Amino acid sequence: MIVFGIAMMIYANIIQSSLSVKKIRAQAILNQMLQADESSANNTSTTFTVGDLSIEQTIKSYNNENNLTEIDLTAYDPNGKELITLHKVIINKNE
Amino acid sequence: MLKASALYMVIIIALVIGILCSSLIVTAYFYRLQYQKTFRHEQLQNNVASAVNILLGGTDTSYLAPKTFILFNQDADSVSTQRIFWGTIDIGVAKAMIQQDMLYKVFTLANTIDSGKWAVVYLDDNSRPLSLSGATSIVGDTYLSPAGVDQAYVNNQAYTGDKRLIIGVKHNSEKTLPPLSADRLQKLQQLIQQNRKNDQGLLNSDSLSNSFLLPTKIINLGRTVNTLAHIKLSGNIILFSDTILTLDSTVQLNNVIVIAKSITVNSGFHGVCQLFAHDTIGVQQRCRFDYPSALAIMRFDPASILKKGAKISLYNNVSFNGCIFTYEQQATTLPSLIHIGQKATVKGVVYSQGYVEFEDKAEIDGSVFTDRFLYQTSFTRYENYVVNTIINEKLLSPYYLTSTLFPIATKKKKILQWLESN
Repeated sequence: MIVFGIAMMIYANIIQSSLSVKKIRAQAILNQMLQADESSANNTSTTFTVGDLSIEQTIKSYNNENNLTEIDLTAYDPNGKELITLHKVIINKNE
Repeated sequence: MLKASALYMVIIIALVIGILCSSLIVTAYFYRLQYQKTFRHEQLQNNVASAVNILLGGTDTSYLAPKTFILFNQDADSVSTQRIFWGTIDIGVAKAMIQQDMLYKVFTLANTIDSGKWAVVYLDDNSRPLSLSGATSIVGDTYLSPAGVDQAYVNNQAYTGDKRLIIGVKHNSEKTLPPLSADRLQKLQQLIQQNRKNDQGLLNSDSLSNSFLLPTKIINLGRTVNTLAHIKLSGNIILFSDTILTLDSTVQLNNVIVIAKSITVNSGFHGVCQLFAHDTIGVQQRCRFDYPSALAIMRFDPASILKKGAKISLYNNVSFNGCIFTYEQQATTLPSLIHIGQKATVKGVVYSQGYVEFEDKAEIDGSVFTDRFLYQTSFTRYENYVVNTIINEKLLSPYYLTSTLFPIATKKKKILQWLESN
């Protein structure tokens, strides 16, 4: 029984510390959004939801270069816990 | 009362559970390791793409050693960018590093075309009209002398082309050509006159390739007249010759720069290269140069100008993709000549500070900037005559990118070609 108990504890620990499907899903969504942002000319700082994820998009000038824009995308779960953040420098299409 | 074998049973069950647990731990470990690797790879891809965008969109256009910096002031987002001067175009090197992992991309970058400065023909205002004869077609906006354009009867041929003569808007040209970029010319001068320290023994093998991540390999052939044959040169290599260099059809050049006094390219050659000569470049029949190639005569030393006129000749059926130009720092009594042979096709830009001469059925899919056109028969020489030639901007790819050297380039840079990546 003790051995079985230890085994169960290990199992629970592994399950708990294993990768969250939500995180992987969030990463895929953010990557897709980065690609879309790169081809768009009208990127603005905004917050929106995709499914149960809340996504915050921040747009700012990169290194004071007029031609370059930094995009920061952060995904939060329904409890407001940060899942993942992606950054990318893109070329400003408006220039 | 327990059986004596119960102990064995317990041990075996414990062993089985132990193995199961261990395998679970190991599986989870490898899964996590793989995920971290994939995540790192995606992060590296984003970072290297950011570095590429910084090279394309940034204001820093210096050609320095690799510059390493942190992208977003966070851990694990180091990138390195480098711009390498490579003749008429630039090479961009972008690297992203996280721990031991590194992603790199090497690419050529060039500039988009400024439609406001673009001209299918820019002919200096030399107060004489442009005369067209035979089946000549000029499609696109032109800059011509106020004397305009006329039909002409040359060599028993009347003009048989479109009645509009030029299918496009006609503007008045200036007395001189729009100048080539002084910055780029200065860099080209440094490239041509650089220290030619030879990397010994490079031509002993039949193939040589050098990455743009490594220092440039210099091959100096010196003063011996050389014919290069049965060799493949690729990448970050500059070939120097102080005299006449012949490139045989068996030579394969891929993005290599060749600098010589005179260059002859034998019939049947096929490659991508930039050839810079001081006196002449002769491209024999049926050669094919892929984009982005360059042929150029460049003269920075005034003492040599009077000796011989600069000449670039493309003989019959040559197919050339890229730019052809002549540059002389001081005006000369013997103007330079770019000769486009019968059925030869140039896709790109031709820029001559002297003459451009066409033979029958020559075709320019792009743009010609010249002081004068020339047409010669066995007995007569006609200036500013274009006979049986097609000059059509519509036949040039809309994705064509040009060098910053030419006056038609915008400041906007784009990736011309991916060269290396991992």
